Amino acid sequence: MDELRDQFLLEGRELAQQAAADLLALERDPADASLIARVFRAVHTMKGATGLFDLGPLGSLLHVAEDLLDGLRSKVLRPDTAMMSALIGTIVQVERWLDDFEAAGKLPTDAAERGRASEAALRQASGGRIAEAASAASAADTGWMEGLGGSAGDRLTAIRYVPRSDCFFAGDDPLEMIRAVPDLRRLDILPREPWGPTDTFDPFACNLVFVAVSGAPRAEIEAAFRFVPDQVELVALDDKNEGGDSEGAMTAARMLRVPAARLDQLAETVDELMIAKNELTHLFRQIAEAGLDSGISRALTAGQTNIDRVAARLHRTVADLRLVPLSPLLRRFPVLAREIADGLGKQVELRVSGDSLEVDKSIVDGLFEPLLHLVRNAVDHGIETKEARSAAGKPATATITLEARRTGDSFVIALADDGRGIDLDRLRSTAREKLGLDGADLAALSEQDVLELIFRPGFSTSAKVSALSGRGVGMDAVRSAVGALGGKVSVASKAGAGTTVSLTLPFRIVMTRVVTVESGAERFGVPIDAIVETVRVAPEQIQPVRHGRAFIWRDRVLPLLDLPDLLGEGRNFPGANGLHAMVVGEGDRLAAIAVEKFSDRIDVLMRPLEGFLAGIKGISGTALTGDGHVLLILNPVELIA
Amino acid sequence: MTVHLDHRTIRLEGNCYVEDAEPLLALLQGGAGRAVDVSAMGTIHAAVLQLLLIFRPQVVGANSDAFFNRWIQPVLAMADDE
Repeated sequence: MDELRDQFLLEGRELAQQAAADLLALERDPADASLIARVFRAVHTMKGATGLFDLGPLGSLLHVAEDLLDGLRSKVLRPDTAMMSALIGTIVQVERWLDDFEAAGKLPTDAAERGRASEAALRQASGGRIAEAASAASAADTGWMEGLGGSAGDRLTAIRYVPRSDCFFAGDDPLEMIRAVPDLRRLDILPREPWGPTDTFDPFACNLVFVAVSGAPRAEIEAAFRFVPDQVELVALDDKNEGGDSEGAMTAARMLRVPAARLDQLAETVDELMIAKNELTHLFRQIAEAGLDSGISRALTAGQTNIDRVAARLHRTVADLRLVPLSPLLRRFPVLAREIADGLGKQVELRVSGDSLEVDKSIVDGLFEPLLHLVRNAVDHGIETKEARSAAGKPATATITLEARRTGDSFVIALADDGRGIDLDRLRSTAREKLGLDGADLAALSEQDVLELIFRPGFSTSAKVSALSGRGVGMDAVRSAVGALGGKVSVASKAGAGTTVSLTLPFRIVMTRVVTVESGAERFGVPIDAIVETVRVAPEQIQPVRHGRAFIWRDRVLPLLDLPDLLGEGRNFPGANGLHAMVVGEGDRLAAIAVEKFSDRIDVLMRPLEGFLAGIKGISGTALTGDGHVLLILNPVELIA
Repeated sequence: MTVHLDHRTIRLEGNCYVEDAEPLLALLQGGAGRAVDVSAMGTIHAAVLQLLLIFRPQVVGANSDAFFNRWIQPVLAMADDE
């Protein structure tokens, strides 16, 4: 893992979020100089850190933003809405690029172009006065950097040394300078420009960039580069929170970064342990039933209870390892909502509230896109234009709340706007056009049922497809994305007063390990926990018993049932070549169910049955398989009851 | 330093300076797949290292310089993998 990059991403995101929050606060209280100073420092620190990586457009954009902020700081410029919008747009762009950098290790190909557009917006917002402000900035710059450098302790300094291409002629050996850096902790040597063709390569032009980290005091590092100070950038790696440092350092010491794959492996092993434990449970019961020496039996039962308890705790602890706080995800949205609103000429304030919850990492990761879509929808379709709002007697600035709260075993994220609400008549007419529903069908639907129509695939009420919402995903995509995480989406709306979309999700993704069994052309899943044993029954073992069949298993007679028959197909396997069967049931009530064959063991996310499927006996839920098929999950205990 | 070709292996001997870059470049351009033996090399100049990074020859031989082994060798090995 690349620690330097991880740290950069971690700090970059924190700084961007802090800057975003401060900018929104600044808009409410433009006179607060401490907010401007904080945003300036955040942007400045980010800019310094970008120099460690090949992130030219990001560094350049931050540089322009820094100039603008310095103008505000030195009161050359006065904050206004256009400036705030440009700065917020910048921060949103920075966060996006951080995501791109994390995912792809580089900025997207259009980064330079986008960066220039954002820079132009900043320049325009400053009324062309950024250049003027810039000179003031450079003076302020060095003072601030010096303040960070000199303190003692094990502080790391990042070094970016870009030797001039003619440095060899000047007699410099860049490698010798790097060699002179004390306490070198890390060194990367990269090409400044991509290496050209080897046959025309000029050996006397230096095309190297050195990125290093040293634990030495800044002065000693500077001494190593004393002949080339203009070609070196030094950034203190932990310079962001002077005041709260001790707390940060302590948390860092107690944290350990572990690749997610290793956690998954651990979780899988624990699952296997649970299954092995279940097998033991069954053996213990048999021993107890066999009436062996009661002392041993009691001791075994006590031991088994202990193992059960410890295994359950282990299972839970491992599941908890994957929990991460939900709030960083939610905190991204105020600034995103603001940026979306700017693009549509609306004024929106998005407030985040609610409990601090910890949720499975994959759920948090999977929620960004659906939530972004909902926020976009709310701003684009939910919130009225300024004119319509004032005509309706509403404040010009619309309010969207994003609230997270715990409800028993699950949590709810509710996104509520104070916009126009969903127009049911328009929904009905769209349903007639796009879904081909006729008037009588629609008349039979309750208001809530009509609202639910927005989740139908192919349904979008927007008459014109705008750049924002018309990105090819509708509410059906939101529902399926949330559904894939094991959650549900619901909507409530009041004409003229607003719309609330609620996502109900589990804290954890609970995977169920199932064996897939075949019966005719159909495949079903059976939870491994529900199977006592899988057996192969030879033809001579099968004994007819009245209308059915049975066989002897571990000295007891088990009824031998057929899966197609149990599912109401009224069909039995012939059994002339023997049968595959699974022994299922609880306690004394055991039976064997014959299947055509057993295939894979897979982990699935099981969802309870909904709608008209709910209540089917013997089926406990459905799951999507890797190849996109729906697998019905059987409940064997119900099947044989 | 001397740069000389021994069958298909380019040997670097003694401390490498900037002027060694040109003969090394000629040898690297002269035959694809030539390995570079660094076992008798002293310190390495950035201009020489740069050639090893662009041509990515197979680097053979154990060097006794601690700085080279700790910091340069891994960079060259990384280039090898790509």
